[in-house]
Amino acid sequence: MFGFSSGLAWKELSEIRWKVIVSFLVLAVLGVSLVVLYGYISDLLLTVPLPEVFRDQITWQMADFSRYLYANWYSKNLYQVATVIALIMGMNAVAGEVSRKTISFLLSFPLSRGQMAWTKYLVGLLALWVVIVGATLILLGSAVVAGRTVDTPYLLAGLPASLAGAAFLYSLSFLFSVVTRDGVKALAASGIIALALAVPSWFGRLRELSVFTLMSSATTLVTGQVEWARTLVFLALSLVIYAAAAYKLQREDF
Amino acid sequence: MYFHIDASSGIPIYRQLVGQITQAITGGLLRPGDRLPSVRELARELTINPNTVARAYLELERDGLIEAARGSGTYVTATIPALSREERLHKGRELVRAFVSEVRRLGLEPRELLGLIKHELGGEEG
Amino acid sequence: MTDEYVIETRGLTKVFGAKRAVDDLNLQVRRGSVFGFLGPNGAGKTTTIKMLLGLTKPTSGEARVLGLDVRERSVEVRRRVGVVAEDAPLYDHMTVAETLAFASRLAADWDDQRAAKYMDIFRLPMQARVRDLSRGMRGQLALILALTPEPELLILDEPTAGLDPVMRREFLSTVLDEVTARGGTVFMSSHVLAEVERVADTVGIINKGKLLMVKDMTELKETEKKVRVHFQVEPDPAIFQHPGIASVEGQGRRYIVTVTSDLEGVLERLRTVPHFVIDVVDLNLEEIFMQYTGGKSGVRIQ
Repeated sequence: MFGFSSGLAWKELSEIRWKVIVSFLVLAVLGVSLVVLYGYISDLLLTVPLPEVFRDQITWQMADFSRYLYANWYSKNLYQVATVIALIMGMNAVAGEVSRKTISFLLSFPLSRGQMAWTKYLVGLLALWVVIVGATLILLGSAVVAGRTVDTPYLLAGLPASLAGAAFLYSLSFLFSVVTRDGVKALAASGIIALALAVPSWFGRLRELSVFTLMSSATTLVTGQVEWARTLVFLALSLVIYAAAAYKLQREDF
Repeated sequence: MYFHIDASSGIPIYRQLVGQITQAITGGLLRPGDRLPSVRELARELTINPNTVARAYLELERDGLIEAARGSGTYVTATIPALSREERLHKGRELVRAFVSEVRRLGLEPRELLGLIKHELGGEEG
Repeated sequence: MTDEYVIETRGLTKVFGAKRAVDDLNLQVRRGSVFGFLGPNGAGKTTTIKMLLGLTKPTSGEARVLGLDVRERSVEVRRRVGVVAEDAPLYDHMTVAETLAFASRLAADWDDQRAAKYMDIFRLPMQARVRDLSRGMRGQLALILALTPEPELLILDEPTAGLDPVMRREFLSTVLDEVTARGGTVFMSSHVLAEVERVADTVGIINKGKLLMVKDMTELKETEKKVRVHFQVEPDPAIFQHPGIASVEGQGRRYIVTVTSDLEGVLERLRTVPHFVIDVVDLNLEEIFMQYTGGKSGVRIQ
């Protein structure tokens, strides 16, 4: 279930490289524009008439550049875009081999199902994480270039939660890629589940259960402390979902 | 020499090979000392199973028509062993049976067939 | 299980829903042979091959390839077996060179020099994308990948479908030269009878999931005959009661008798009745195949 094949990893990397490049560029552009737009947004928002609650919150966020970056990166842009990237990264993992009828070619080599599952899973997951970490570093770098003082530890504190949340969503998509054997269906199914998972975040007590609550990580925004417990829970859940996918793959006929 | 294999005939391929090589030897096309293509060469050229070629060569060797020299190939033997009348008749019967069965497929009447044979024999004598 | 057989199945069965795709298959493939696995489309050939390679799980029964249980040791099986799957699936986006590099990283025993030797035989364009290759070239590339690790057993699933006659000859010649000539075994499924007739030394016929017959090709051609008889008097039907007689057509004094074994015995028996003609007709594989599959089938004769 955890075997690795470097030969297959090479192929996987070359097949997802465009997904990686494009999603990295999208995130990096978003990050840089957040830095560039800081002045404009604060001016803009403070001139618009807003309800008192929001106004206070925005004023609080805008008062500090690092806080502004955190709120707009982790709590808004990154988690939304990363969700889409995670689902896209997983959708074709196995389904792509089935629809292209290459699975019988791949499995004509001495490669176990477990090696196939773990290699594909790991390559996709690491690519996803590299994109997220890389774009976040671009965000920080561009802030430094723009001459802002940034609280680096504070801004990195949101990363673990984002990575764990993205891993969770990616695992879902990966599982459906195995189950449905169809990339589009896998994307649709995991997308619907992801939306359903957003529902608890609208209700006070259930908020804690939502993966999006974790990823947008309001607690860390306020305290600057990484939410390790929930992060690890979602990482563990990701592994459980992977195990389910690998178990299912083991029993499939191709 | 040139072999013609008809895979879709009812006659096993190795028999076709044996027949053609035997004919070539008795007809003087292959002379004692001539080298036959190796099993592999012939199999590749005709796209037939090497085991089939090997089987044909084995049969020819048993009949004393060819001989495998260790390492250097297969040669037509210096002497064509005289077959007993019995053996020749047996071979002849087999050939005729195969031949008649082939010609029957063409839908020829026995009379026409006999005519053809007479014609061939006449041509040989003349 | 002995070393004599590279493939051995016992009661191998695969059920898809209500369909028995492979039904109680008992198959033995002798080491060193070229086994032609014949059957119309949908007869169960591909499903059988997929079970041998561990791609599909048997519903029941057992199968061993090179003595290894395909359920438990499928990776080891694939380490020692070369495969060209149906329609030669490859990654379309790769170039020929990239495909070779990919295979070299995944195959058990890759040798660049051997691969280069095969590339020389087929002269494939290294930088061409797989998607731009003709069907024939695709099949050749798949064959190069399968042959390079020098497998003990080469499994080909409809290897020459879509190839023109010249390419087909080249393909099969290479297989025979590279595998059979050095003692390896070839197991090929096909519905193109002419090619099987040329290269196979053993033939198995499968239809509707059932193995109908396995025979040595020479023996097959020597024992499967039709006998045409024209009796002088109407015979007692009991004359046709003989284990070697598979079927009898005709009536009155003219009959065509299909014989599957003991031709001499059958002839002797028929000769006891006064007759004008008793005439033995050789059958080719196509006729034998029709005999077993009931004539109507998706078989294409080429």
